[in-house]
Amino acid sequence: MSIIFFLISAGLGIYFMLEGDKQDKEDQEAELEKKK
Amino acid sequence: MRDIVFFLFFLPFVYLAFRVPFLGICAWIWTVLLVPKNMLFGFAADLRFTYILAIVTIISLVINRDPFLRKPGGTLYVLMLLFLLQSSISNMFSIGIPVLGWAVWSDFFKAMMLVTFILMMLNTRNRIETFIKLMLVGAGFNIVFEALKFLVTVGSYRIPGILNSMLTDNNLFALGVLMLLPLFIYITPTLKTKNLRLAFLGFSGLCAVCVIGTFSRGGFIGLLIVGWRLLQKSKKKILFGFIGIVFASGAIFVAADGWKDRMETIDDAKSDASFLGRTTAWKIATLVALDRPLIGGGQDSVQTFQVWDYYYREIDKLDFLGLANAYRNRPKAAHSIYFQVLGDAGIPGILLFLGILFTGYRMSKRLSKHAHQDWIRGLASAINTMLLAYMVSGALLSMAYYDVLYAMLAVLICIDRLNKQDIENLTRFTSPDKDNN
Repeated sequence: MSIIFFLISAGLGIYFMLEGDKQDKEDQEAELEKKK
Repeated sequence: MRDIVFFLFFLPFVYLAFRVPFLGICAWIWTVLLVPKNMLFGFAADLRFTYILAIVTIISLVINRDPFLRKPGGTLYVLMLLFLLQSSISNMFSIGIPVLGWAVWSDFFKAMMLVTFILMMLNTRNRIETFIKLMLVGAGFNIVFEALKFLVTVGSYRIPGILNSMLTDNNLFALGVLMLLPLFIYITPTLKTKNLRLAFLGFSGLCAVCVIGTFSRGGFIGLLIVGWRLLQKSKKKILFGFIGIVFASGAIFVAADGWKDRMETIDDAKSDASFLGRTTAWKIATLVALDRPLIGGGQDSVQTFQVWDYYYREIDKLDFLGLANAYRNRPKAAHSIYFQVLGDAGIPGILLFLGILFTGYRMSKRLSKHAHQDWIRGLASAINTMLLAYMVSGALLSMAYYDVLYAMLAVLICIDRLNKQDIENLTRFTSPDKDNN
């Protein structure tokens, strides 16, 4: 049973990390634009 | 098999941490709160996942360029470092069992490392919210698992706490979960899909179930405080109150008589053996601090038998308090964050600890009222409620070195910096001098 909850937790974790990574790239580009 | 599945799912976390440094600390907090060790029995059980992620994060920080990187700093951070220093000095002259003291110190040191990385890297809204999401899905694993066990067994399963973590007993787990509840409420509306928002709303409800399922009296008092604070701040008071009542009354109904009997003992705490043990531990911690005011007894020393036995001889010095004592041959943990620090690190230690809590509370209060952006006000308010729960329920629990507390204080420093940056930008754009130039 615990493995199912683990898979959900890990799946959500990876999803949020990828989402955060994507947004971070956009933030970095915006920051570079601002500096220019 | 289970170990292989875990290992395969752990690899993407390591890969992402290696590629993007701030994701390293997100994965780090996920592992800390998930406590994978408890579900593994094969080759992966001996792996030190947090250690691996810490090393990967450091390497990633060195090889990747991060435009948002900042130096760690701020009054609150300095207070935390001084508290770590004071704890180190106390341990060097410990009167307890040094190995036990240094084990506590080691966890506290790791928490401070995490704090330092947070201050260096979490410098945008996205990064902060990603970190909080990972914290919540890591803890969510244990919250959902334990709450469901409690509900499925119709209350006969008492949630015992999480092995191999800082929340090893029911009371500590109750407070740990309570501290996360305001963060669940904060993060839910920021999620992109309706399904995720519903899932997180369910997690919030299961947090309340978990607290009730621990049968912790301190936890229950904390739950009332957090529930009241969240209700006060909620824009949909009736809906929030209704959902809260449904979850709490459902869990209390499931827990039935045993739970009610336990809570009724709050009224006659003075004659309760567990309460007497606590007050005796508080007296011993006070006597240690009076005897060694500058350094205390060292971390975890008060509950070692020789220290307890030695200071128990002088316990009549505190008879004026009018509280009976527990047995001499049964040493107990301090059972209060305040007396724990007083006994461990002496007067300077408790002053630094109170300074950390006071500064954090004031900063979160100020930001929750006066920050420029809505999300900063919302997050500061959640941290403020979390601190309030910690300061009230923590008065009955030994949890002074809890890593989530220090991590969230670091997040508080980060949002304070972002708020100051906002103010600077606003003044720069609206300043008449600028226009004239």
